[in-house]
Amino acid sequence: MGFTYKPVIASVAALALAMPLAACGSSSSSEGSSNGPVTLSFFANNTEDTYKKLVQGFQKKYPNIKIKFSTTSGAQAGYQQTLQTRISGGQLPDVFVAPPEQLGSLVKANAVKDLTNESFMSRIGDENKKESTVNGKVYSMSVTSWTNAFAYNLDLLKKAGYTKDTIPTDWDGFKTMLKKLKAAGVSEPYLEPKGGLGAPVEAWIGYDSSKSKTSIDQQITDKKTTFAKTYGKKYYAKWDELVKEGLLPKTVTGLGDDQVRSEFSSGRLAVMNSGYWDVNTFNQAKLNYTFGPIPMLKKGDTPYAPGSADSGYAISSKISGAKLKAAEKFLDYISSPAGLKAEQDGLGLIPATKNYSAKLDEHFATPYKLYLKPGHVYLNSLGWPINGRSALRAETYSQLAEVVLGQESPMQAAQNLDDKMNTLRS
Amino acid sequence: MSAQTLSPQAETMDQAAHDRAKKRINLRENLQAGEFLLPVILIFVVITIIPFLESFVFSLTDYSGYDFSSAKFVGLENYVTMFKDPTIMAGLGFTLMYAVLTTLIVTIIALPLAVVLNKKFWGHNFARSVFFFLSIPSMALLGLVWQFIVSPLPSGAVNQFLSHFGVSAVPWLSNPDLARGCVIFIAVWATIGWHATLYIAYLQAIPSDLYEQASVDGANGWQQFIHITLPQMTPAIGVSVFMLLTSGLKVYDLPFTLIGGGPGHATYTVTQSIIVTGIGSNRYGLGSALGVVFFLCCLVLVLVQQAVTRAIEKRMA
Repeated sequence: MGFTYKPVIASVAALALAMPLAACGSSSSSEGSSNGPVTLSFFANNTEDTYKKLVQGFQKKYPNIKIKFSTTSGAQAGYQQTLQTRISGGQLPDVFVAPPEQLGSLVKANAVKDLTNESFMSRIGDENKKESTVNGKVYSMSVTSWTNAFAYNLDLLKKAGYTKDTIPTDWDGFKTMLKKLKAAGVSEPYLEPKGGLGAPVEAWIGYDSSKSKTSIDQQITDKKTTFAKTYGKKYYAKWDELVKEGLLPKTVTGLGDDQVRSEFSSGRLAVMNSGYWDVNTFNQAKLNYTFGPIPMLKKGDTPYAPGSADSGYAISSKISGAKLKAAEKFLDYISSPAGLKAEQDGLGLIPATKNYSAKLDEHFATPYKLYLKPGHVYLNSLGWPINGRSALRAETYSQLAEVVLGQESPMQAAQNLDDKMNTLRS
Repeated sequence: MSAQTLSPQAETMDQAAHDRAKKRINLRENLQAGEFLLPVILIFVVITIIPFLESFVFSLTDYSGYDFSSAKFVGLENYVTMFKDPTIMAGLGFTLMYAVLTTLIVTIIALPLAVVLNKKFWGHNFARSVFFFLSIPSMALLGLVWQFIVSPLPSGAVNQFLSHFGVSAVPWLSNPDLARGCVIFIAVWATIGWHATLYIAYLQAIPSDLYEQASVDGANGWQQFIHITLPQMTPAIGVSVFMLLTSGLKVYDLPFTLIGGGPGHATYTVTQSIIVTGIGSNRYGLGSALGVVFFLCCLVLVLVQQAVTRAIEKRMA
């Protein structure tokens, strides 16, 4: 009887298939020896290039600790999804960026270490700590904050008779300015991207929420009020005035962030919703511009803007020994002045700790003074159910697009959000 | 009695022995084929059957994607939630429209295109390459590039071109119907070359004497296409339609990068629903329920398509 190769080929092929699958299994977290070199895996939501300065600075200070960096390409949602997949697959990174929307689930899954009593946490501001707190314990170290602000092209504003000092701070004044800009020949005075429709709405809700104990969005989640009674009746209805008065064209429903940014950078657009992350782009475009206030509903309303603490850094609850000590040293370095400067330079984020005064680009002085310093920032999704924030946020933009297209009234859009909220509660 | 004249009983026994031997040979051949199929079957079980069964189990729980041991059994609650959610239903409408229209349009255009590209003319290899290259970049990348080409702003590439003829800016991506049209157009533009190449491979297998004989009989080009090319191409059409339909049903990347599923929910797809409502919101249970229902819908659709293709093949044979 001759030797038959077929079963061997089949077995080898099956083995070849099984080997990469086996590699998908959980890996145990080596603790590392107390004196030898330690490798820390670090998973973050930005490119390796932007973290280069921070990582190199840390490795220079601690030559025995090597950072193994990994990231995802794409938006925040992609990062959250990858982090979730890694955790469910037992591939928890040693140190990682923990988005506030995900922190509750991470704590529930026992994936993050309690950082409340760590020495470096004394440097963190109370607002940032608040957004990293779950059940009274702080689970991530947030060292930076972000805020939106409107970017104004001063050359175009001049055509309508406005200067940096006369930028309107209330809604009616803002609409009047847009009308004057149109009359002066600026065909696109103001645009919002499809994924950021209703830009000033969060600022208005932020101010109104500051007058009550719980935010309006938290009250909606707690069934004390509804989207229809708040967003529909007041905020969306006021924002819809832009559409009705021809100040916000229907084209916005088909525009991405980059397209709006590109219109502003090329000097065609007078006003857009923006943030500190756009400073380099606008400076490179050599624009005569400034970051100014987001118009509030009424004159005299305290200025608020969409914003929050940035995602914090978390340590895996699964590591111990030398690896844990190395991870703590890494967080200590991130919150040190050298680390914060590296973060600001590399990532374009604004440090918000007690031990460091950020030196910002002069164009962003007004938003820093108005929103970040006094903590007048608000993010509606933080008041919504944890398991549905991103879906509900995406839905708000889709509903507002329907309003711009004239397919729905602001009230119908808000009622649809109530329906969506009901599916999230179930 | 001679050896040639067997009794009916002996003949029956001989036939039975022959059948048994044939069955043994068939079994042996099947086993041998099975050995070679084993890796493929294993891959299919590991990456399709097991995840599907897992998804079904997840769909009956409130699994958040982190720790399955803490998930609670919720019965059919996720399925009820799914049918109550208007965005999910909106996604189903466009997905079906996309799958059916891209399949129809690509098939209608790719077949004659393949016939033309199969002819010998100056630069025919270059022409084939140009059409094939369109299918190389990922749909996600094409969506990002086309976003600037069909931008609804006057500064968009197409609108700038049209402005030279006095046409005012067309709201390509900000009008729901035009946006749907743009997504389907780009998908057709990108996939047509690949399917034409598939058809060319089948065209080259058609014996040339069939055409020679038809020419002698006086058949013109159209008659040759209808009576020779088309029947001979039925298996290729079956394969192409199957691939178009399955890839069309799971579409996500192109409408998402081009227009984010908008304007409003105009180009929202089922896969986007699964990602945004299910996975992106830590609701793996709901996402899995969506996945299970969608898998079954696709299965039914593909089985119908296969049955129709087989019936046509039989009729054409």
